Amino acid sequence: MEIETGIGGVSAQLAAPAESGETWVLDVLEPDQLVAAKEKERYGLRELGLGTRILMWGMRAYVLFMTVVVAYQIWTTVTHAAAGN
Amino acid sequence: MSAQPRTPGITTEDRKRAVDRHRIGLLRTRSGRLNRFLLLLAIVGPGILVMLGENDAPSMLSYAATGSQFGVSLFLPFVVLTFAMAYIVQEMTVRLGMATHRGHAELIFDRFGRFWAWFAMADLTVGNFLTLVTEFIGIRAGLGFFGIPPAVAVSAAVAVVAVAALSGRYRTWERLTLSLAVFNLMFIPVAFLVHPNWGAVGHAMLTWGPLPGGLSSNSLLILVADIGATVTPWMLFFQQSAVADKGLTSPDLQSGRIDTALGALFATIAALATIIATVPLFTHKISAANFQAAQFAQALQPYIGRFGASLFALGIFEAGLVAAITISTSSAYAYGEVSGAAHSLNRPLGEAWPFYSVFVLGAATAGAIVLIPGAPLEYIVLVVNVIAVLAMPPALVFLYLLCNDREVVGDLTSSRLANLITGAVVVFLTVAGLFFAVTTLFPSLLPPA
Repeated sequence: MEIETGIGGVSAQLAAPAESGETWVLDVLEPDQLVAAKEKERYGLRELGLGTRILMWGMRAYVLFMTVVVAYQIWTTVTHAAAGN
Repeated sequence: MSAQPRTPGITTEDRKRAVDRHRIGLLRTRSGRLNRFLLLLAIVGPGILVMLGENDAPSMLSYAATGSQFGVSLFLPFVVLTFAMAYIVQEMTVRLGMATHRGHAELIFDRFGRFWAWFAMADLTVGNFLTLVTEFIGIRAGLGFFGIPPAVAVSAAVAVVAVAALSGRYRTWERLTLSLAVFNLMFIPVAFLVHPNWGAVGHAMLTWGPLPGGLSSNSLLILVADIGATVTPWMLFFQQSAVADKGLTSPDLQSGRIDTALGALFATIAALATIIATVPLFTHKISAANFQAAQFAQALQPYIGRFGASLFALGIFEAGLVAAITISTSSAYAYGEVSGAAHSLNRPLGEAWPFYSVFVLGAATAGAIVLIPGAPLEYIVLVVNVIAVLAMPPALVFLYLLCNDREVVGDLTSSRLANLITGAVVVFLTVAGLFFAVTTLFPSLLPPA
């Protein structure tokens, strides 16, 4: 196949595949990129070891604790602002 | 385009993605510098968008507050460090997206189950919505500098978000958003207009100092806000989903890394420029602790002129607008992935209307809140970056586990070094959050300023 050079030549060939029909879609995409394949094949649940579960619960506790801290900070800011007025 | 016979099982989304893959595949077979450049151009997008998207209105406001309160200081190299952390984290999402062709939310649901996944979704939803509100605050303030009424500014921004969402093609959405994101670099000329002391900038970068006033509750708040301005959960969800939607695959990994590194580089430069641009407020001892976006532009006007102040205000507007698009996209992807509804920018509106509804209605609702008279917007701005920091460690744990899950990523698992660095980032963010908590609950531990 003769290769055109320059931006014009490249652009002309990149526009769309020349093949008729849609088999080219299957050729171009990886099999698990197809929407139907992704809907059909799912990754199953992974086993969570004790260490992983402790880490995840620890992180959840961290978020809840920090949410309370942020709420407290907002409350103090609001009350200080109200006292200033 | 002539009608082609339809193959059962192949969707419109597949066809559009295949056209993009065909383009990349063809460029990969060619040699020469021009073709290599065109290949890179075809692949870049998600990385640059996620990094410039994170240079959003509250982030630029944090950087402006940093420069105005601390001048040329330790925060300059610190911001470089935070973007280095952002690169390490985002590179992991590139690998996940390329290896699985699925979004982050979908993988969390599949591998960890609904119980853990809904926690992650709750963090994301709350964080995204509050951040989206702050983007519209930035949009309103940025255009307000030019006398544009809030309702007009917000409506126009929502219209741009809708146009981007409903472009019907991932590629069109990406190129449109990229063309807007370039304007994040508008802060660079503003930095030059203040005629900074480059020697002091170089000294601060090399010595990690000074820190005017020492460690105080204020400097700690700025520190946490600057971390939250660089690494946030929506970025993980966004980039992985965008990589999958774009159809990038393992052979594109190197270009995907370059894309992310370029994004981090551009975003770092824009962030540093914003800090430097507001140094005159520090030098002239102008109290900017409670400034909002437009007030920074107004306060800078005596030092950089009307043109410079206009660039600053436009930069804040642009930061809010691009982030409004990327964060709305992130929310829509996550919704589609967990609900099982169609979730691709390559889908027509009729096939994926719930996805597009979340995309546009989320932005419209956030915009409407900004227009409510007396809404407590300043408190939302105050906490949004802090919320981003505290929600990040759990999100990183999911990311770490997924990137080391050979069943999911195959050969693209994280290296030992990458794991070590990711672990260090998690510890750093957690400790920063806890330090912030301790000083909030016990403010007498640190001097106020």
